[in-house]
Amino acid sequence: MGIVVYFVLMAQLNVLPNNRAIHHVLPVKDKNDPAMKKNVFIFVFTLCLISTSYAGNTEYQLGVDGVACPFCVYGIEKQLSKLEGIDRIETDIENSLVILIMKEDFTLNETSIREAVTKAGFSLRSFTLSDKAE
Amino acid sequence: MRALGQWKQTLQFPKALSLVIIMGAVGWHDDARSGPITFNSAIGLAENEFVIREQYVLNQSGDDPSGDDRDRTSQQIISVLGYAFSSDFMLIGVLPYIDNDLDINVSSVRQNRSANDIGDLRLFGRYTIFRRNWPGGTLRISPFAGLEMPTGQDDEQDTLGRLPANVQPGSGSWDPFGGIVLTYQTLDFEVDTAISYQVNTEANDFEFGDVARFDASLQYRLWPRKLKGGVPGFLYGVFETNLIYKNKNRAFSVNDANSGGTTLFLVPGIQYVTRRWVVEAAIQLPVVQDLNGTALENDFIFRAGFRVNF
Repeated sequence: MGIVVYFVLMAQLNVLPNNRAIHHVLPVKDKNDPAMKKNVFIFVFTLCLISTSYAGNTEYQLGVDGVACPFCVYGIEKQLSKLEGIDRIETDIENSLVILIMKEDFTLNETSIREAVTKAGFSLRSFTLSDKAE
Repeated sequence: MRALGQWKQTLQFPKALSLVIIMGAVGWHDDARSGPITFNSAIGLAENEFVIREQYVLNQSGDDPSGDDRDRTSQQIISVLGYAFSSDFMLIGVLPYIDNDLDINVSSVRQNRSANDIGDLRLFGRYTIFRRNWPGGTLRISPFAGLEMPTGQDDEQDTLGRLPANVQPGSGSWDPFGGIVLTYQTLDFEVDTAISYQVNTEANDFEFGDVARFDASLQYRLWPRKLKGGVPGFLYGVFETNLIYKNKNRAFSVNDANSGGTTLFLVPGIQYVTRRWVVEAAIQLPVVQDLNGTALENDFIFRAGFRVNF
């Protein structure tokens, strides 16, 4: 994401070498135009925000034993959704995996997750930060 | 390797079927997460979760060896509400609305006797005493016990007088029952087996015979054949059996020689299961009816309904 921001910034400020490919994708205007500079600043700031937000959402991957049909999935998702800071839950029934996508700046500990899984009648096999978050 | 995989796949169904038979042989009762169609003891829930089940039942009996040409039709809407106090303990209430209809020859005149009202409430608790989970599978054993309460009318009358007990919506008696249920579930199939016994007590000088039953259910995933991530709905082909033994009824402390006996039902069915709801239908076909005297034989029982959890 940082690389994208860098290239967009450089292209807009016209500090990159005269690269036709980049200029074709990102048409460069007068670098001394104040309105243009303001637009570039807002654009880059927004991209930075998106980038920061993307990096801040923690994801956990849970291996859950005992889930064997769609009707079971509702119970475990209901219990996990009661935990504070859960933004989204995705379940892969074939591989017995539950992915918890957290709201920004929220984290969970293994004890609370294990408790929620047990309340649903299942067993927590594994608890890891997903590759995406790492 | 590929050939080996295909060979294993073709073996899956007979393996599941043999598991039903083995579990039946050792006398285990059924209990499942997606669950059987013909019995309720196997419904499973997470803590603080509710389930509602509504089922329409058409029970037709018309093969009468007595010469009275009895033809009995019973239609029921059965409402089930379950609540899990914990992942181990849940309480289940079953309340039917019953419409019983009996056609019978009385002194060579065809008579119709019927009644409709709410039936007897069955309330029972179930506790899971053994649970083993593994990736994509679970094994659970849960005893249950409860009481059938006389909430249904048991003194309905018509122009011929008081209706016979098998037409009354309620029994009038307090009847305890208990049993044990076992569930073995994988992503491909689920097996539920249950044994139970109900002690029927006397009311209005009449006592239905005690009932012992063995139930088994196999739910085999027909679609999707291959899982590809996410949580798709499952279409199960269902095959169940109900072996039911009824003791003789007693009227005024005398056994009714023309009641009770043993019936074995084979039950093909179908079930579609999603995260929040299940729709299902099955037909119970009596393949063995070893009944006492001129007890009325059953033709079939049809069931269709749905379940929702929340």
